[in-house]
Formats: sequence, C-alpha cells, structure tokens
Amino acid sequence: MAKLNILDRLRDCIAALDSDCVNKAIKEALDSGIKPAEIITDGISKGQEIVGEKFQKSEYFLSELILAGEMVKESLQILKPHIGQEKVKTRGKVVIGTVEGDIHDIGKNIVIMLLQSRGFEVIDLGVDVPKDDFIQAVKEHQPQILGMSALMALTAPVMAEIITGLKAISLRDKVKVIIGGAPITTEFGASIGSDYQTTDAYDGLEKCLEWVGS
Amino acid sequence: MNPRERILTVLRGGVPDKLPLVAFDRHLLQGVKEREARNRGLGLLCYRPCYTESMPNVDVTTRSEGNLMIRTYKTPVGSVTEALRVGIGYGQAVLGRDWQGVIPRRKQFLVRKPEDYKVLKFIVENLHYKPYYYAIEDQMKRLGDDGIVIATLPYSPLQRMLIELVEWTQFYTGLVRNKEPIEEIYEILEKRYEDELFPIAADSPSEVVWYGDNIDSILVSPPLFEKYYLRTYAKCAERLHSKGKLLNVHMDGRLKALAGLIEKANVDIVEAFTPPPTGDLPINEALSVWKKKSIWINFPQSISTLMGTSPDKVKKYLIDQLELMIPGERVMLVLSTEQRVPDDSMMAMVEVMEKATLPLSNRVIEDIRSS
Repeated sequence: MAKLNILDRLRDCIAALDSDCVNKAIKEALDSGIKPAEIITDGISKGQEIVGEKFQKSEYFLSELILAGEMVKESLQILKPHIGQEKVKTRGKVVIGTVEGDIHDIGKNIVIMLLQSRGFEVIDLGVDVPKDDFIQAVKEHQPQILGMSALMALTAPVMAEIITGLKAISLRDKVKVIIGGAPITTEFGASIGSDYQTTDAYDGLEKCLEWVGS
Repeated sequence: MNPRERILTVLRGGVPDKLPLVAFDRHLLQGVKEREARNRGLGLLCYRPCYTESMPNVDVTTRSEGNLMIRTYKTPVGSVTEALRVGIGYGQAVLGRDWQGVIPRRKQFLVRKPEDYKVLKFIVENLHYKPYYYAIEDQMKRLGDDGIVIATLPYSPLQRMLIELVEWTQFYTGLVRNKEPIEEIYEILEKRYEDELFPIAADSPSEVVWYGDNIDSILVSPPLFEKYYLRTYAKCAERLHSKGKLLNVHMDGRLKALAGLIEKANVDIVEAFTPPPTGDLPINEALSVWKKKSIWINFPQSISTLMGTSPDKVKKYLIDQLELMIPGERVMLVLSTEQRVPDDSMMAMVEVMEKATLPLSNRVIEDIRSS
C-alpha cells in the first residue's frame, strides 16, 4: 500500500510538473526499498503518460511537455547509481531522425518525448542525418520501428531513398517505417512505401503502440 | 486589372476582377514558364528591408567551417556563439539565401545555458535601427504594376528569441522555470522596436509591412500568443495604421487552436495561411472567423511539389479550395512560401486562377471545373 502511495505520488508530481516533489518522492521510494525499474515504470512513466495526454488535449503545451522531459532526465540521473545490473523493461525500440538537408527537430523531439513516456527505447540520430546513417542504425540496433521526419517538401523525397536502401540489404521487412512532418501526406507515404505517415505526434505514438502490441 | 491593382484592391477591402495569384520573388526562378505565368497574370510579392540594424559595443566576428557559418558576439559581460548551416550558393544570391531561396538553418543558438542570458541582454540593449529605404524604392521602380513591394521587419520580440536566439529546450523550460530573463529581454526588445523600428517601418514607402513570424500553434501556444504576441502586434499596427500602412504577419503553421486569438490580433493580413493537409484550419472556417482580415493562402507544397504530384491533382485541389472561398473576397493565392514549385504545378495554378473571376460562385467554379 505504502509502495503504491509513493509511486502514485511520484506519478502525480511528474504530471503536476513539480520537480521538488518529484525528487522527494524518488528519494522516499528508494529509501523504502522500491526497485528503480518499478520507480521508472510505475511512477515516472505513468506521470509522463498523463503529461502526454494533457498535451494531446491542449491542457498542456510544448513548454510543459519539454519540462516534463527534462524532469524525467533529472530523475533518471538520480536513479542511475541505483540501477546497477537491473534491467528496465521497454516496450520496443525506435530509431528516429530528421532526414538529410533538414535540421528541424522540434517535431521529432515531441515524438521522442511521447515515445519515451510510453516506455519505448529511442535511439535519436539527430537532424540532417545522411541516408546511410539511417540504414546503418537499423542494421546495428535492430529496432522494431524506424521514424523519419522532414519539415520541408524539398527534403522529404530522401525518405524514399532510405526505404530503397533498406530493401537492398533485406532489412525493409524487419522494421516498421513511420514518416512524419508538415508536408507529409498519405499519398506521399504510399508512393514511397512507408507503413504509416502522419503530421500528428500523438497519432504517431498510437500507431507505434499498436505495432508493438500495446 | 494588373497584378498590383488586384492586390491593392483586395487589401483595401474591394473586389478585383479576378482572385489574385502571386509569388514571392525570391522563390520564383526566371525562365520560360515563369515568363508565361507572369504574362498570364501571376503577380509578385517583393520583400525588401526598410532598416539597418547595428549593435555598437558588441564585437561580432564570423568564420566558416565547411558549410557552417560560426558567429561570435563578444561583449564586456561575456561571449556567445551561434552556428548556421548554409545551403549551396549561399552568399552568391541576394538577401542572404542560397540558390533555392532558403535562409541558413540554425544549428547552434546564442543562448544555450542560463548564464548566456546576461550576454544576450547586453546585445539587445545595444541594438539600434536606422532607416534604409533604397532597396524598397529601387524595387518599386523596377516592379511597376507587376506586384507590390513589402517592407520587412525582424521576427517579433518573443518569436525572435524562440527562432533565432535561445536554444529551444532552454526557451520552453525557461518559460516555466526561469521566466525572468526571457521576459526582461522580451521587454527590452519590444521597447527598442517600439522606439526605433516601428516609426521607420511606418515611414517606409511600402503599403505593407511584414513580420515573418512563422506562427504555429504547437510552437506558439494560445497562452503564449495571447500574452506576448497580441501586445506587440497591436503596438506595431497602431504605428503603421497612423501612416496608412498595413501589418502583414506570416502564419504558415497549424492555426486552429489560435484562430480566435488571431481574430483579436491587430493584424491586417494573415500571410501564408496554409490549408489542410499541411495546416489544420480549412479556408472557409478561417474566413468565417477572421471577418476583417485579408488572407493570403499558401498553396501547400505537399500538393504542389512532393512526389506523386501532377497538374490534375493541383487543379483539383485548387478548385476544391476555391469552392470553400465563395464569394472569394479578402483572399489571394500564393504559389509557395517555401521553395520553388515545379513548372507544371505552377502552370496548373495559372490555368485555374486566370478563370477565377470574382465574385466566385458555384457557376464560376463549375465553368473552371469543366474547362
């Protein structure tokens, strides 16, 4: 009961964006002997999930979403020395980046925050990522999902080259491909052979959850 | 009517002979099709500066590293550095753009940690503006009746911090955790604009003055827009209106969540309004909410440019949009506000728009559809 109370409080502190309260709840959880993995999945992630939902309902905006992301980073820093060999269970692995020629990252970063809030491990390749780096990352990390972002119509066609590159080394069937960004349309996605395309971060998150069976 | 007459008629609340089709001059490359399009009524919007900006007491040095332009601002209270990635042909064309008309993309911001704010504060305290009208006067003479020349301003104060000055995590978390330096710099910048820049813009020879703010409701939430943007637009518009000028703000993002606040904003022209599928507010809804504003519609590049496009698709999309604009008052269509569009798509738009006589009606639309 006490354990549940502490983790619920931690969840609520994250959702309320109160970092002092978060730090206090984490300390209390550790002092009570709750495992770091449980603190992350049943406290921090649940709080992040609420923040994501509030963002979707326009109760929170970008400031709050980013602040929650920063609070989670700080929380993980506190937990790091206690994690040791303990495995934190993830929902799935996503490799994501903004394609070559495009250095817009806010949309991509919103998606990353939402994915992390729902327990995905995210490998962020950054912005202006050469197409070979996407292919190499899929080869190396073997993610369930590859996400590509582009804000400019001029750079979006690079996504087609990456999908072709994955086919060439027989990796296309091993990964779901989701693309996003302002100029992306269903028609464009279909023409390049992506599995899903969206201009909405939350919609993208829901598709990823569906793919990993959550 | 010529393109200039059409544009000005729309801006003055009248009804021109046809719904104007225009292009940003920097995104329209010269050539056979471009000449044909202009001969068939495509007008030009030419953006030119009306001021020079200086910052005495700040030592600015620039160096290049590959395709990065690295600029350091040295002040008595410390130094900050920004890095911009430039495109091919940068510096060989006008207005600090590459050959495709794209401005350098920022890779590193001046403010990346809280201590950097004090340096930024010193920089903005030292900003000064002087009039510079030659670029506008010269282009007005060259352009004649082919379009209009628009005087440009820097980004509005908070948008300038968000897009040009402060790293975005720092900015957004700062708005909740460390608001004081952001608000202090915002106030200084706004006062500087009010005292020096707005009078310069109001006295410029252009009929229209432009804030290139790239407004989007994800980046600029309704509470932010209400608190920091309405006020500065009002101050700018008041000054401009006293000299008979109009305020034009570039709002090319998702605007549905901001629609009500934009109606309240003292802005005359909503420029680059982008309908679905890129934007999230249909044009008929925008027209019904913004009853007194002129709307310059940006033809979405996802339709005109991205893979899978064709003249037929462009025509169909455009005719569907025209149907939503009936009777076609207060609007004009912009070819693109980003990069150039393919010639075939441009000519498809020209073909439709030269038949878009006003007032638009179902019959006019039907005639266009069946032609």
